[in-house]
Order: sequence, then C-alpha cells, then structure tokens
Amino acid sequence: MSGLGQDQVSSLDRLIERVALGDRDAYRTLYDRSAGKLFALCLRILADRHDAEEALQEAFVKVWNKAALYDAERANGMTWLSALARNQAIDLARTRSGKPVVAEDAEEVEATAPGPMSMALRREQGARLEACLAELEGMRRQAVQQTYLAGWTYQQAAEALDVPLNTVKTWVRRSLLALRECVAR
Amino acid sequence: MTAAQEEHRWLAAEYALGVLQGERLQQARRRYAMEPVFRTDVDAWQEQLAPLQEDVQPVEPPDSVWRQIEQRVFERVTAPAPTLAEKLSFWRALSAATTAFAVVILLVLLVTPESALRPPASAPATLVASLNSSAGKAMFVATLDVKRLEMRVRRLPVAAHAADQVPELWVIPADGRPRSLGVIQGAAGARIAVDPAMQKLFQDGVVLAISLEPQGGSPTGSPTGPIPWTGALYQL
Repeated sequence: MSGLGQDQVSSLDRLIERVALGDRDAYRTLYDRSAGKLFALCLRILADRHDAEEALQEAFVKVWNKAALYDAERANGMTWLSALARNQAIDLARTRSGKPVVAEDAEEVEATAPGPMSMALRREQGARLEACLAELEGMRRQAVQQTYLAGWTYQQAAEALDVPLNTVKTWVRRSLLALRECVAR
Repeated sequence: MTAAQEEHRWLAAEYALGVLQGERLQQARRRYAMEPVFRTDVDAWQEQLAPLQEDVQPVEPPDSVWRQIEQRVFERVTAPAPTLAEKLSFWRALSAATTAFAVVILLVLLVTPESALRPPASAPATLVASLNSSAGKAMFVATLDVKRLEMRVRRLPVAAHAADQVPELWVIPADGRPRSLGVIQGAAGARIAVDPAMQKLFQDGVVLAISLEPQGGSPTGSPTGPIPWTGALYQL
C-alpha cells in the first residue's frame, strides 16, 4: 500500500473527531495530511486545475461543517474525506459537461451505525480487494478503475475506451459484482 | 428483473463508483440522505472501492486554497472555539427565515382538529421554533404553550438517525449551558411537560437544540452525541 500508513490513517480519524469539536489546529493538520491526496483525486476528475482547486476548497469547507457527522466505526477517515472531495469534483465535472446536478447536501444527515467494524478488519478487506482486482482481466479492470478515478459517466467511459455504451456498462457491473463476491469469499 | 429494477439495484454501487449523472445522481443523493439502508450500502461500496485510489500520488495544492478555506470557515466566526456556541450564533443570525418557516408550519398544525380545540393563535403565550440541519433543512418543529408548560415537538418525516439513538431536546439559555427537556421517543414527535422551575429560561429567541443520544437519553446530563439540529424559539 502506498500513501498513508496505519498510524497515520487512524490519526486521520482522530483528527476529524477533534475538528468536530471545533479544533482549528486539528483542522489545519488534517488539511496538511490529506490535501495532497484529495487534490490529486480532484485533478483526476477535473482536468482544469482551477476547477480542482475549487472542488478541494468546497470539500474542505464541508469537512469543517460535517465533521460532527463522521463516525469512525462506519468509515475510514481517508475514505470519508475522499468521498467528500470526489463528490464535489464529480458535481463540478457534471456541471462543466453541461448536465448540471442540483447541489444538495447528501452527506449532512446523521449517520446510521451498521455495527462496528474494526480498522484491522477494514485493512484486511483492502488487501483482499487488491487481490480481487488483480483477478479481473485487463479491460474490465481498466473500465472500473478508470471510471472510478476519472469520475466518468458510462457515456464518457464508452467514448474514452472506444466501446459501445452497453458494453462498458456490462463490464463495470460485472466487475463490481465480481469484486463483491471475491471480497466476500 | 425489469430494466428499471436492474437500474435500481445498481444505484448504490454506481453512486459510490461515481458514474451517475442527472436524475439518477439526484435520486441517489436523496436516498443517501433519507434511507439508512441505502446509506450503509453506499458506504460499504465506498470502502470496497477505496483501494482503487491508492496508487494516486499526492499533488500539493497551491497555498491560496488553504487561505480561501480559512477565510470562509473562520471569518464568520467571532468566538474562539466554534463549537456549540458558534453554531448557535449562526442560528440566531438565521432566525428570521427560520421563524417565517416555523410560522407556516404552526399554521398547518393549528388547522388540525386536535389543535383546533386549543386556544386561538392570538393567545400571547406561544413560542415556536424550527429546528434545522446545518444545511438549513427543517427537521423538527417545536411549539411551547407557556401557560400549560407543554412543549410539543413534531418530527418531520425527513429527520433520520440511527435506530439505536434517540433525539434529546435541549434548551440553551444565555449562559450557554444546555438543559435537557427530555427525549423524543415517538416517530411523529412528542409532548414534553416543562419543569416550572425552567419557565424563566424560555425567553424570546432562546435556542433549542436536539442531540442524538443513546437509548434513554444522555447519561451525563449534557449532550454527549452530535447535535445535528438547532433553532431559536420565538414568540408568535
């Protein structure tokens, strides 16, 4: 695994919890630790650098406002942060492509708890997923990974990979299904 | 399975993956906000897909991004610690809009048969508050009958929280110390008898807040969980 190690990951969780209490220093530290990764994710989705900066800014303002809703039992801190950044970037990408979406605060509602899942278990699943991804054959893996990282719609994925829309949709859905089954077994 | 059912089945996974647009994206967001099961499903997919981003190498954003964030988040804050107090002053500022909404809701309440038996709205001793989410959505409406010392809380259908949590209503007077008014057990709301000793706390503009607590309410006498909903109580 590249990027953040185990201690850093769990300290992201704790930083978010401190941000929820209004701790500005924790907010700054959280930004320093995560902004590079989040900015890179936004840049994958938004080709324009200024758009990516805007998405990062919006996402991080949401981090401050929604930190109280974060539940470490429910989501890994980095996953929570990147979902905020990706959603923001995807919104902007859809707007730029002339298909605006109504801005709506989907993440603000209080979390439900599906039962505690330990960090260790989640990491184990991450490793498992990587093995599962490796099992997918070339084009399908590419379809899932590219679609995810680029924030493509099915239409955009079909154009980029130069295959019919239904083909790419079938690839992605089969891959998702295979991933879920593979992770579960 | 019909094509529509097939699309429906994939909504959570495809929302997490990020391929949705237009109406389906909006639908997914609405359901994420309202439906716990759907939310859990999306979160699980997000967690499963997260390793896909591990190879993405960090790119340092320019300093201007942090400066703008700092400006937006902190410049509207005057208190040093923007915790509960900060949220509350924010809500006081928004009180005009909130009250307008609450008045509309109260009028709706007043035309229900049960309410029709109560004294007319011209009775001076009624206070009303709309308790909203941080995004400004009304989630609960509280009305206080000062004469009978009864607080009625109506839960709007959009208010969602975990099944093992219970909303607890607090009044937060000028001293900033929350006092519990009780938990809201009912799915539609609750009627809460107010302790006469607390009557003097209910000044025009006093703040109400709802926190999410373990079953039975806060074990400490102060809010222990998140406070998703707040609003100010105003005289009609």
